[in-house]
Amino acid sequence: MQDLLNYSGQIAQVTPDGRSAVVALDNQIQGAALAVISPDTSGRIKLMNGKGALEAGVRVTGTAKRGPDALKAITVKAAL
Amino acid sequence: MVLDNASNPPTISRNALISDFGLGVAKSVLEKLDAQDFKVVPNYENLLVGDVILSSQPARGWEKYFSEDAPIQVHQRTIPRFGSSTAPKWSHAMLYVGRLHVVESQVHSKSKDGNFRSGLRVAPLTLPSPDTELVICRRKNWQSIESFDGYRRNAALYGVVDHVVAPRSYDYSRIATLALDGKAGIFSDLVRKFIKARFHQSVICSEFVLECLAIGGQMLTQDWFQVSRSKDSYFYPADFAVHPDMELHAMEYLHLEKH
Repeated sequence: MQDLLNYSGQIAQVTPDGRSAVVALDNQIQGAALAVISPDTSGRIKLMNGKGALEAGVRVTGTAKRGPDALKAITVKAAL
Repeated sequence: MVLDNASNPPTISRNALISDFGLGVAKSVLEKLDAQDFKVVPNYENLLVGDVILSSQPARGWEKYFSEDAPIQVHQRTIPRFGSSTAPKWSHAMLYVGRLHVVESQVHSKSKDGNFRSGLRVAPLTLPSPDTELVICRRKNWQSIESFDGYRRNAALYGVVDHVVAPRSYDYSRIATLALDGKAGIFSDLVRKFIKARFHQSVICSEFVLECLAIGGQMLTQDWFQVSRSKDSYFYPADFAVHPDMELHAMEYLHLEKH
C-alpha cells in the first residue's frame, strides 16, 4: 500500500471542461514535477465554487499518490 | 493488416461473444460486423483496458483525389521528429475501454439513427477492411508500477464519462490549420489563434486519448501539459508510436464464424 505524499504547488493548466487540472509542484516529489487534480480528487468542488471550473494560478496543497508519470491528487485545498 | 494462419484463421462464434460480453454489448459489436463485409475483430484476450489503439488506413473517398494515403499520414511524414520511421502511417488513435469497445474522437460518420455525427463517442472495435492495420500501444513497465491496472482503468473511465459530460466535436479546423501551416503566412497564425481559442469545444483523436491518459491515468502528463499550453504543439497519432514510454504490440485477430 502506497503512503500518501504531501504536495504544494500552483494550478498551471486546466482541462477544457474545467473539471480537472495539472499542478506544477513547488518541488519535485519522487521524481514527479506535476500533480493531477482529477474528478476523483476530494476538495475539488470547493475550489470550483463560484466559477464552476478550476482556475489556473491558484496555489494549492494536498495529499497524493505517486502515479506512473505524475502525482495523483487524492485531496486538494487552496493554500493559505 | 497481418492476419495469423491465413488458411486456417482463429475464429469466434456469435454465441461466444454474447457469453463473454452479455447480449447488449455483444449486440453492439455484432451490429457493426453485420454492417461491414469484412467480419474480423481483434483478439480481445490480448487487450488491456487503457491500451491506446492506433489504426492505419489508406485514403478514402475524396481523399483519393490528393493521395493514396490519408491526409494525416501525408502530414505526419513532414514532421521532423518522426524521421524516417514508419510511425507516420498511423492515422487514428483510440482508447480501449474493454469488451471490444473504444472511446475516440471520430470524424463524421453515420450513426445508428442515420444522421452524420463527429466527435467523442464509444464505439465497437472491429477491423473494417483488409487494408486497415491496427496496433496496440501500451505504457512501458506497466507490470512494475503498483496498482498500474487502476491507472489504466481510470484513464478509460475518464474517456467514457467525459464523452457524455463534456461532449466535443472532431476538430476539423485544427486539422485544416495543419494543412495551412507555414503556407499562408499571417493568415495561418490567425487561424491557429482562433483554433486554440476553440480548443474546449472540439478535439482531435490523438489529443483526446492523450488527455484521458494524462488526467485520468497520470500517464504522459508532461506531454499533455505541453500540448495544452503551447499554440504550436500538436500530439499526433504517430507520437504514441515513437514515444519512449510506450511500446507497440502486434494485434491478433479473430474471424467471426458464419453460424
